[in-house]
This record gives sequence, structure tokens and C-alpha cells, in this order.
Amino acid sequence: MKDFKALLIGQPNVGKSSLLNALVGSKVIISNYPGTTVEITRGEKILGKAKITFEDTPGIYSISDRSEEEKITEKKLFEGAADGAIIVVDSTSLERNLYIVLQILEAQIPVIIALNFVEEAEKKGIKIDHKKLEKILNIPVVPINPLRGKGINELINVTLRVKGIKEDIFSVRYDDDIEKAINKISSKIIQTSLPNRFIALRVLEEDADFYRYLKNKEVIKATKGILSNHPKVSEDISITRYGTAAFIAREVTQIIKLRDKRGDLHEQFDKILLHNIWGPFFTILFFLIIFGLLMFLGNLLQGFLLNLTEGITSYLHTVSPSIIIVILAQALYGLMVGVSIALPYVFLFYLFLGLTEDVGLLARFIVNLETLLKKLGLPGKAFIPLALGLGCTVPAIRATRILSSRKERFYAASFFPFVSCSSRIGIIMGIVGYYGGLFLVFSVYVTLIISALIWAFIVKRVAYIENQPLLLELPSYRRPLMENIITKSWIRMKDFVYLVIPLLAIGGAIYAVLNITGITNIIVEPLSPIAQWLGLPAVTIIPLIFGFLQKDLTGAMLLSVLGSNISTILTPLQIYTFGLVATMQIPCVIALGMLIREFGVKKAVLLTGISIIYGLLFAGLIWRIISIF
Amino acid sequence: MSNRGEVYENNIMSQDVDVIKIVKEDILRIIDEAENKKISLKSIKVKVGVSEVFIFKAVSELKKENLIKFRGNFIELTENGQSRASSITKRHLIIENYFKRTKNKIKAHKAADALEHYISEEVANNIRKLFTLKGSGVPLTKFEIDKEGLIADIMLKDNKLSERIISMGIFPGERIKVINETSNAVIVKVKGKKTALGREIAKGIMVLEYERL
Repeated sequence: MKDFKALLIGQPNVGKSSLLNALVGSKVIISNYPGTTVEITRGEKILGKAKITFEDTPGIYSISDRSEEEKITEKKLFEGAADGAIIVVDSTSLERNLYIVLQILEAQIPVIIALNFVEEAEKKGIKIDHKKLEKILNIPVVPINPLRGKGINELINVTLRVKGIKEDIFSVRYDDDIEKAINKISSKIIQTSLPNRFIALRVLEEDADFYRYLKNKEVIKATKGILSNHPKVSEDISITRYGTAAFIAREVTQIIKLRDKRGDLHEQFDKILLHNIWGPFFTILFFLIIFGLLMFLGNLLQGFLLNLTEGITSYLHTVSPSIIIVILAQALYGLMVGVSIALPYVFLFYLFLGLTEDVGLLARFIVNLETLLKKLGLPGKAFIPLALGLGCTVPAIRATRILSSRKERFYAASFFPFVSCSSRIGIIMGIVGYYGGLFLVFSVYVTLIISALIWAFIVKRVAYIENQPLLLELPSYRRPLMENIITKSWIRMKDFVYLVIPLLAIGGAIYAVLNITGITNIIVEPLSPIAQWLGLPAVTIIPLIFGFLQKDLTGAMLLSVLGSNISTILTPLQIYTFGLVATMQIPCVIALGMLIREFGVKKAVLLTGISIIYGLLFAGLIWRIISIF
Repeated sequence: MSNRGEVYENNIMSQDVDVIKIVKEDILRIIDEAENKKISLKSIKVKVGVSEVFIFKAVSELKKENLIKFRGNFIELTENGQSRASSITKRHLIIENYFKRTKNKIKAHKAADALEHYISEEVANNIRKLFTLKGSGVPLTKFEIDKEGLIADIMLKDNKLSERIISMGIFPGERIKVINETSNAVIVKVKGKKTALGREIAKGIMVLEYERL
């Protein structure tokens, strides 16, 4: 049995995920926005006695990581046990894509080039001689089209033939002084699996991550003498590497000039979509329309699914009531809420988001909202996790990985109490809207926005958060592949289906047990001062506590403690306060679990605690202020 | 499925092809720069500094292509060789001057040594034009929308950021066009690909107007 592990490497948006799909036919994310492969996806291919494992990695342009997810790729490349790398290369911009190829070859990692978008390049008048590219680099080059399954078998066969690194693969030659400096540093390197030349280059490029391979740092100073003519060595190295890539690209490319009519049209389109005023306007309008559509479509689906589940619950009521049946009915009720209310909403929302991503709009939205987010101290990229948070907070917390520093990530995550996920939208619409009217819904949203601004204002002063400047490739507009979008939406909502919905059932069951045993009353008593502070009846503490377990339970619990004529028991101000305090939190224990996984127990508990206190303080103050008038 | 694998095994010489191309260009330039425009094979060996195998192969290819001729112990350029050498020397000088200019170095230097073989003709020409101009351009943030420009220099403190930008194809000598500006970013088009650059980055990219060159 011969096992082989191949990493799929390449720039963002170059078709790595769709290649993985074509190779192993597994469920993977394919995306048109730089940086959606947050977790490494893998797939296996078994051919007779041989097993090849393909691993997808987050897109990189070069070994110059700027976010945690890019670090994942580098770790996999340099520390992982990969036998080789398949670098997916975009034929429409060969020289830019060859940069990373040359850099990985410097690390002496066996490389196969998968040449993607060949047809697209030919339409643009670019013809690539892949045989010549093979000869120059002395590595295999396979033209592919993952969407049509072209070149896939050949790629697998070539992968099977890879046997370590060849000695005579292409390597970039730098100028004499740099070469001397490389030799000098090479002699002072601790023995590792990485080639000395590669480490020496990274050291010369001032990549501090590689200093640990040096026997002593004195050698860096020693090279300064040799490099007196290179005040910016690192830049000269990148320029030479890029120049080499450009040279190779020129050697193998034949350009038949065709006028790029579509490109011109897209440019005009971008002029409007990225306009200083129109850009943000259209972005916000677009999301408002999506929300409108969601409410409409969600309602349709919800009605349909509720009818389906109602049959089962009404049957349970006809059975003689025993404790078991009551518990079961409550559990089923919780499950029903999740399946029929939240599920359609989350799925549709992620479907729309996936669509904007694959069409190429999402990158434009990020640019448009950068100014706004920057005022909050967040980078433009933070739009992705925040937008995902409008569906479900759990995958959104994970998506903060696309941000560059841990501090930035944690700060972005601290906004999730203000970004209502589907369950919290359920409270706002189902409770506040249903019993209090649209004006109250609007007020809750406005208050959430204001409280988020105040939060940002405070935190920015306490913790100095440095944002990396925006650097984002705008992918060309592409026709989306529905299949990919559906798979992607599914992957994103997996957490919701497998973790959040079961929790709803468990929560419902626990509630029934507590009710039967009368424990609920014991909980209410000591916590009544909180209800007092919020100006709410003491029993509302129960739905709020359950809300911490799972937000979808809040509405159901409120109904069961107060009865169905809430509007006569609670004043509009109380409904508003209840809605506010129930939403302004980390939404559920699963989200807390995800926070723990991503940031550690201490930070997760800190954030959850602070957000609860902040929400309580804010809601308590607001109703007092309003009652003055 | 294919015999690609076998193609590979038979292709041991591929790297050499490239080395020989470089050595050939070096030899032509060295003869061009030599006193009386002639040089012995021994001096070539010293100056080029690669293994003899490559030099012999390069010299025999140059001879076959009628670019050099032997006169006694010395090698000279033919007419064709001279014109080829001039263009190589010119390219070398262009890049050398470019480095001198941007890196503020008085001493002539071989920074261009490796790069000259690789840089495209167009980029080399653009660099030459950059060299003949005064000043180093304006930051991208001050550059007019829809005008073709030439990237004159990248001046950023963060090395990883510079590398990222260069690897994305934003490179001195390359043509650039500003498509749009938002309050926080400059949208540029380089080689048909659009990129949004934050103002902090755009400020560090120096651009010259293309028509003026």
C-alpha cells in the first residue's frame, strides 16, 4: 500500500476547491471570494493499491502570510507531512501565479502544476505552451478543467509518479551579492527538513518566522557588508523572483490580441458599483432587498413546514398525558421551531450570500463597507464573518479566521452580540414584532446599532487595535455554478443543523422537566432583582435564562410563562426591553463552545460575561431614559 | 493515460537550457564590455563563473548561431553578435541605472545581473523611460483616474506587504490604471486584474503618467 498526500495550493479564487471536487467528488467549498476555505478540506482517492489524499488549503499569493488562515497553508507546506504540492495556476495571469510556484520550488517541495482556466485564457487571446513550461521548470504541467472533468485522470496519474524532489528543477538565480549572502547564511543554519537555501532566502527577506532556524543571529549582521548595495534586499529578491516568473510566462505564452469587450463592460460596471457614494448605497440596498426576500420566502417555507410538523404534535396531545409524553412534546416543539423557522431562513440567507460570493459581488461589497467598518476599528474583511453572523453565529465565529491578528479576530467576534442571528431575528420578529408592532422592531434594531457603536467607541479606547490596510483582489465577474453554491451553503449551515437544532430539542425537554419538578420557581426567586432592574415581571427571567441556552427557546418560554395574550400583560416598553436584552448576547451555548474552541476558555467566558452585563446595563438604562419622557 | 511521466525522465537537460541562455547573454555582454572587444576563453570562464561544461556549450552555440568568431586565442563578436550584445548591454545598463536611481547608489553595481535576463522587453523599456525622467512620480493616491500610469517604485516599510504586492503583479515598470477611488481605497487595474488597495498602501506606490514618457 502506497500512500501519497498532496496539498492543493494556489492563489485565492483559482479553482482549488473545484479541483478537489473533481478529484474526489466530495463536498467542498468552491468560492469566488479570496479566502473562504477556512478549514482545510480533504478528500481521498483510492486507485488499486495506492491511496492519494488531497488537501485543499486557503489561497496564498506568496509566502508572506497576512492572516491566520494563510499561516495554515504555510504550516501544511513546511511542517506537514505532505509528499507534494499541486499548484493550481490561473492561465489568464500566468506570471502572477508562477511567483508562488518558484517560491515553493525554492523550498524543494515536489510540485505539479495544474493549469486551470485554459479555455478562458484562449477566449482572451492567451495561448500557453504547457509542454514548454514543463521543460523550463522541469516539473509536470497538466492542463485541467475541473468543471468538465478534463485532465483530472492525467493529474492523478502524474501525482502517482511523483517520487521526491528532482535535483535539476528550476531555481531562481539572484544577483551575485545576494547569492553570496545566501551562501553565508546557509552555512549557519540548524539542520531541518527545509533546504538551507530556502531558509536563507526567507531570512534575507526578513521573515522573522524563519530566524529560529539560525544558529545565531549574528550572521544577519555579517551579511550587511556583502549587501551594502542592496538597501532593500527583500524587495530586490521579490522583484527578481517576479521578474523570473514574468520571463518564464513570456517564454511560454503566445498572445493573440483580442479586444476584451466584456472586460470593458465590467470596468464600467465597477465604476458604479465601487463609486464613493453609490457603492455603499447599492451594497446596503442589496442587503435590504435580500432581507425582504428572506422574510417573504422564509414565511412561505415556514408555513409549509409548520403544517407538516403540526400533525405530529397534535397527535401527541391525543395520547394520554404522562410525564414522558409532556417531555417528548416539549422536545418536539423545540425541534419544530428549529426546523421550520430558523432552518429555512439560515439556508436561504447562506444561499444568497454564496451567490453574491461566487458572482464576484462580495469582494466589491467589502471594499464599499471598508470605510464604515474602519470607523468601528474593523478591517473590511470583517464583513464576511459579520454577514455570516446574520445567519448563524456559530460558523461566523469560525470565519473570523480570515482576519490577520488574534486581537483583530477577538475584537470582531465581540460584535456578535449586536449582529442578530436567525434565532434572535426570530425573537425580534416573532415576539417584539408580533406583540408590539413594526415600530418596536425598528427601535430594537436601531438600539442594537447604537449600542454597537458605543461598544466600539469604548473598546477602541481601551485596547489599541491596529488594522491591516486593505489589499484585496477583485475577482472578475463569473457566472455562478448553482451546485457549488448549494454545497457551500450546506457546509456553512452544518453547525446549525447538527449542533443547534438538537440543542433545541434538548432545551425543550429540560424545560418540561424543570416545569414538572417545579425547579423553575427556585431559579426565579434569587434572580428577581435583575427583572426589577429591567422593569420586567419576575417570571420573564425564565425565558431569558433559557435564551442563554438557545435563543429559539426564548419565544416559546415567554409564551408559556405569560400565556398567549402578552400584549395585555406587558407594556410596549417592556416588550421592547425584553427583546433588547434577549438579543444582545452571545446567542447560545454552541456559540460559547465555538468561542472557547477559537479563543480559549478565558477569553470566551470573558466575552460572554461582558456581553451579558453590557446588554443588561444598556437595556436597563434605556427604558429608564425613555420613561422619563 | 499519458506518457507525461516518461517525458519528465528524459528531460534532465531542461534546467540547463535556461542556464545556457543566461550564460550566452553574459558572454555576449562581457565581450562587448571588454577592451578592444575581444576576450580569451579563460577570462570568460573567470568572469561568468559557471562550470566549464556550460561555457563550452554556450560558446559552441553562439558560434553556430554566427554571433561570435574565434581569432587566435581570442573571441570576438560578429556583426550580428555585436547588435545582439548591444541590446543586452543596454538592457543591463537600464536596470543597473534603475537600481542606482531608486536605491541611491553611486557605485555601479551588478544588482541587475540576474534580473536583466528575466525582465520583459516592455518593462525594461519602461524602466529606461523612468530613468530618463526627473523625480520619482506621484503616490497612487494622487494619480488621476482613468490615466495609464507606470509604477515607478514601491516604498513600503512592511516587507511581507511589499512581497505580497509584488507577487500580485504590482511591480516597478508595470503599467497601471486607476479605475476608481473610494474614501478608503484605490481600485487599480494591472495586467487586466483589478485590485483594491487601501490608502496606506496606495500612498507607498509611486506612479508616473504614461503618456508623458
